[in-house]
Amino acid sequence: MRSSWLTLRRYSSVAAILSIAVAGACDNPSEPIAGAGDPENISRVTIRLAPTSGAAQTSFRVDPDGTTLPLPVGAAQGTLALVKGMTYAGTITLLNDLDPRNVIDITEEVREEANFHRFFYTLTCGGVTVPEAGLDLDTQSPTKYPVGINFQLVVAAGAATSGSCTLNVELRHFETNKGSGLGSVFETDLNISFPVTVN
Amino acid sequence: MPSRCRFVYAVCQALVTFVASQWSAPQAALAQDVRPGPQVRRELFGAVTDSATKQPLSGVAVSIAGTAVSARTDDAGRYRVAGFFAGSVLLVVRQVGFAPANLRLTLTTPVVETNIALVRRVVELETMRVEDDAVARFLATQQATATMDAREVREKRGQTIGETLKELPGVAVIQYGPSIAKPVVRGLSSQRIATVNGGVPQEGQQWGGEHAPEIDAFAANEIEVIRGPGTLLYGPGALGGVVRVKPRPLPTSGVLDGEVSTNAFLNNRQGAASIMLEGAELRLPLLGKLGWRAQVSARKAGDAKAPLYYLPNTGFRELNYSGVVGMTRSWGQSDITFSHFGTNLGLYVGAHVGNLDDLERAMQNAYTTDSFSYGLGTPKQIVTHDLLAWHTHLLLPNAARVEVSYGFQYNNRREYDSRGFAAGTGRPAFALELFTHSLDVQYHHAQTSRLSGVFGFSGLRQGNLSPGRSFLIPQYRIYSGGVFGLETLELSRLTLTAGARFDYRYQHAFQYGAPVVISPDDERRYSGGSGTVGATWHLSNSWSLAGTGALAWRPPNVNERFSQGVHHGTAQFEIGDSSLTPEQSLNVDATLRHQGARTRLELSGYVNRINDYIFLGPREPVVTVRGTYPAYNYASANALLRGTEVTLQYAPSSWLQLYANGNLVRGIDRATRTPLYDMPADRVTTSARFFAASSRRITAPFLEVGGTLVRQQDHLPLATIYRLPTAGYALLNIELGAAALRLGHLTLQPNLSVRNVLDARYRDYLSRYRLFVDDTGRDVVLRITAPFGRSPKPS
Repeated sequence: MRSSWLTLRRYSSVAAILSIAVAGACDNPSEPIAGAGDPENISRVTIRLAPTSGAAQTSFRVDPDGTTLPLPVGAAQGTLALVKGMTYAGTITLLNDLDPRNVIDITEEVREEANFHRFFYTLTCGGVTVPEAGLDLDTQSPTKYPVGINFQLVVAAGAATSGSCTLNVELRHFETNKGSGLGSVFETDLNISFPVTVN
Repeated sequence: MPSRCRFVYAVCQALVTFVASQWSAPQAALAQDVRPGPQVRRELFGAVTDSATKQPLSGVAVSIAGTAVSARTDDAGRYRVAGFFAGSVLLVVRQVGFAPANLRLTLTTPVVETNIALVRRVVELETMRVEDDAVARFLATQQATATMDAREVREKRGQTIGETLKELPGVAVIQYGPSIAKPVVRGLSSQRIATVNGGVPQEGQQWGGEHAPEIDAFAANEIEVIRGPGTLLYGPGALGGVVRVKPRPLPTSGVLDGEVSTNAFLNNRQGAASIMLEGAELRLPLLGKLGWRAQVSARKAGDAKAPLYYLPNTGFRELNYSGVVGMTRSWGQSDITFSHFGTNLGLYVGAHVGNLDDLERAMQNAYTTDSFSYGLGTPKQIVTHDLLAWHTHLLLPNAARVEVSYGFQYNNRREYDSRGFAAGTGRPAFALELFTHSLDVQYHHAQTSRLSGVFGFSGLRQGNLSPGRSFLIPQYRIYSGGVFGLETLELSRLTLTAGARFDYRYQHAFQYGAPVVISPDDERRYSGGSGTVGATWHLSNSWSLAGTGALAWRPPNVNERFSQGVHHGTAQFEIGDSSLTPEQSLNVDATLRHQGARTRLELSGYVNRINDYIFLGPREPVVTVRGTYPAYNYASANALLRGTEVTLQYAPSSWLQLYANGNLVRGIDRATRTPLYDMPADRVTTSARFFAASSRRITAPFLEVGGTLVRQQDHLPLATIYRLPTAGYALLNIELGAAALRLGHLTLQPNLSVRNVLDARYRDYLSRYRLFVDDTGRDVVLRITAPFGRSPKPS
């Protein structure tokens, strides 16, 4: 009994030793590992606002080296010119297009993980709101809560005229138990602003 | 002297003998029969020969027990010891390869000739306990060194190897909860502290703040911490100090012995156990009789508890196993070791923040829970460390020997993020694989009567792979090597040492991340010399003063040059600087030691001047699409570290031992005169141990009451978001234990200790969670070791 147990020990040790010896021959740091190190970061954030009638407004911001590198996010290209009394169907798009041959749609990943994310849109423009009822929903059960990849932006008829207010977008990532998405334990995956005018 | 005085004197002598025997060196302070009357200077001389060949033996250590009087035999095998007064002495004769000889002599004349014939025997190098010389060794040590013998390691064994040694003089730990503890020696840590595990330098991404040494706490038999540069023997990775973890020696006798050890920690409901079996009668064809040992240990812990709440996701699991097999022969010893360390540990959820707003929110409303859980979710680390080592000691004539250590280590570190886009995909956010081959050769040359020394070289080949989804450091290849020599000259009252070393390092970091190049291809060569001189002045039989001066250097690590990205474990954006140059250090220290009948004192002071000291300092936050991140640059400055450690042990009677230790570290940037980061706060540890009488059932039972006092850390670096002074705190600790407890046929070594008895709330300055939550509260720890086997055990 004891000898067979010792033998077993010896075999597992030998197996472990052999596996290490094999592993030892396999370090080749000059070869990059396929699929490794794709910085999971956002290099382009685009907001598109489509009115019930008329042309869509888009604004985008680019981080030239991605989230994980120090160069700051660029200024917004395109202003969101809002018209009083109009309702817009809004969409946010997050891309990693650092490698133009391999553009990654990060919005899709957020959609897949809708039960862990929620977008928050806040405006400094008086009379412009993004109502909660207009946000798209996740797939939590029994109650679905907003995600906000698609949203509704309502400009009141009596909204203040403004030449320079901002739309701030925040994406909160909840580790567990997103619930309504209004909890306080989250990590911010996006916190970015876009210039807005109201006429 | 009247007879009653003589009687009282004899009783006092007996008591002193008993007290001294309770100390770590059981035979060290044997009472010398000092007769009243005129003091006679005595002398002993003679020849030491090999009992088998009748040939004289040179370089044999001859000493008088309980004194610093010692000599070595010359080339003709002759010795002479003089300058002592006792008429009745214990002459201790030691030589590697021979059974020790202790001769009790009564000297009837001032000069006596005594010849000794030594018997050759197979030797266990690691266990060659020269107990009688323990006092002499303590007094003769040049560098400030703290040791934990097997008994102390057993009593203080913590949840990790770092926690086990955190109360040693000069040592502090950087902690991420109970599962991660990194040693800090005299203010320096990470890649400046070499951790040597059984002769192999541990290579496991030690640059990382939350990368603790991957060594099983149960595998440590003895631990030694050398404070101050250890570069001469251990290379540039030991600029600040050395932690030597010594495993049990290879058994040379006994068919089957072993030990079962359990540690239970109430605070995080942790159970840990280790089973070890060893023997010396394994016979294999061609190889003959072999010694062997196998050990398995496992650990499971849940959330840690602070006085007012639980810290969610701070549990961990560990499974480790190891085996060693080897032969001990007349030519020396050779053994092969394999060990596996595996841990799965959680990081406190509330500390894992993203941008600056998240950080401020987490600091104001730290996330805590009211209930306990063993659950382990993200963020977490899964780390494995495999080691294959081959050690050989060859014994050569005249006490010369060669030691060769080859090690292969595979370190696999995977960090899983709780948030971010890799979460939930099962793929680690961050992964590193490190392959290291190391070879260390030391040749201790033949000893003459005064001169001993060692020459050696070491080499290392290392490769790093970075297969995770996120980038932090590039893949790289490192080749490094060093040659050194160290000589020790023993004069009558002075021991001098001098040594020099030359190191070379080739570092090739590979390009990473196309099309946006994160890290370019980079090849760099570094070389430098280091040296040390030291002296120990034996002021008397019980006092010594030692001093060392050392020049050391350290090339910048790959992480210091090329870090680029968020370090998930610490939630900070780290940016390297590829233009960093090597650190250059000049360290001077002095240690005063005293070993008396009742007292042991060690007083150490040091000044360490490091030019181009590399550190991670805050810079303006990085703005990304995610918002603003706290960011850090690797930068360099000229630093100055100074400090002192005082340790006092006093045994006023046979049933009481008092202990006190105080440590102080001051590290500053010389240019701005501002403090450096992560300097430990001032600390005093004190205890009183009360012994009760032994009985048939229980040996040396004791009750110890002690305190840990830490002063407020108000020496803080430049104003940053982390500039929160940490208040001082005091902890009360109680411990109950015994050397042995006999229950029927079982002999146990039990220890029950309560740390932070009063459940005080506190935050240690080096706790990485201190911005968010308190440190752990009261912990009740039960440690039981049950050795078993048929052969008598060394203590």
